[in-house]
Amino acid sequence: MTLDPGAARLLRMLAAAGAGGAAAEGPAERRRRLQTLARIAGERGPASVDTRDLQATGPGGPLRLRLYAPAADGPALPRPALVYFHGGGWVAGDLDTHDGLCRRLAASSGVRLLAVDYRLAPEHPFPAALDDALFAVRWAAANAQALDLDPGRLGVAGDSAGGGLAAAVAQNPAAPPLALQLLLCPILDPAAERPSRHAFGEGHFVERAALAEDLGAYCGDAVDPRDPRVSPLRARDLAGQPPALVHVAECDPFRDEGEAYAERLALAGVAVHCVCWPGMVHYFYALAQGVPAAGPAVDAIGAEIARAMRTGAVVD
Amino acid sequence: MADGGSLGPEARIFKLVRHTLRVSPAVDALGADQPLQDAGLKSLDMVTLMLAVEAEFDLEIPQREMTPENFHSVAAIGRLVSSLSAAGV
Repeated sequence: MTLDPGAARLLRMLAAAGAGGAAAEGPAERRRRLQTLARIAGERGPASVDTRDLQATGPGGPLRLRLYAPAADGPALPRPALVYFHGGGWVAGDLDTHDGLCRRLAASSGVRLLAVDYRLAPEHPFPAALDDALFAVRWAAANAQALDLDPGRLGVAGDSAGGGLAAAVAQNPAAPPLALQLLLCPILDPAAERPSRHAFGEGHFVERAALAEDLGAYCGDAVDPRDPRVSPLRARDLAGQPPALVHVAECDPFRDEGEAYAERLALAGVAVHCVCWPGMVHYFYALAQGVPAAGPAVDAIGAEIARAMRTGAVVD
Repeated sequence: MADGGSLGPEARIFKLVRHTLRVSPAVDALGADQPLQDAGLKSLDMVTLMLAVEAEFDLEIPQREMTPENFHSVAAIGRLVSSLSAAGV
């Protein structure tokens, strides 16, 4: 295991700055940190992608969304689309922290993205985020014509905690039929301590203590973290789940749960393509300024999305 | 080295710190040897500052020099910049 040089340098800077991810900072500081990180190290994304800020009336009130339309998008053509849920440990992250990543994914895939500003913990604990995520997918399907989306090629996507939301939405019987799920370094079984949690639990971008704090903020007393709506890996039956692209990072505490989910999907007969990015850390895909190899990686993921939406197949 | 006008390294670093903190009065009262944390710099502000120092002085800080000590104060950063510039990094 050798860390990617860009990732190693960024981790070294974070460590020297005492930014290893100390817990007990409070949600406001957590959010500010992710915003700062996006500004100084984040993917900026191509400006050629058109964006439109939208608002829907969600289960908790007004819900902001951002539609990304790649430049090659022809007029009034229904396009395949992914409803996107950002990461940030259920506590942080917003439309802006992941704007560059969404732009790059849209540009490289030719697919429209609809990013969701779902409610965050601890102000809005479980199930607020999941309710908003499910609502957004149903809303996208119901408004497909107005959004120029092809409802037959609608999928879900997300990174980190948002990857867990995407998987949980896909498992929900109230979700519309989904053509694809894209899971980037997803958190799929947060309460379980698989070996990668031990190997990369400190000094690798997401500290063990920070995860525990986030999970506590999200679940509160409302739900057992082992509930499959929080831990989609614990769902009893995965048959019939949408085709899946799962991307994990080698030096990521959440690597093993991502790979375990891909294995379980495959055993259940679901078409799945799982990639482990060598030397990469959690959240690398969104850090192209700090981790230069992340940009081409996202482009490769975009090409996989394009192929999956074109052919319906995620494997060669 | 990037053109820094007539300002010395410490003055340029003070400018960067002010920019990082978005003009906080605490910076103006900060001595060159005082810990930057005293001026309210938080952890990711320090990373921002490291990247800003690299850009300002057109150098790449080697990983072995990325230590809390080297970014403890404006004076410490000034010494780091001088030694890296002298070494032609």
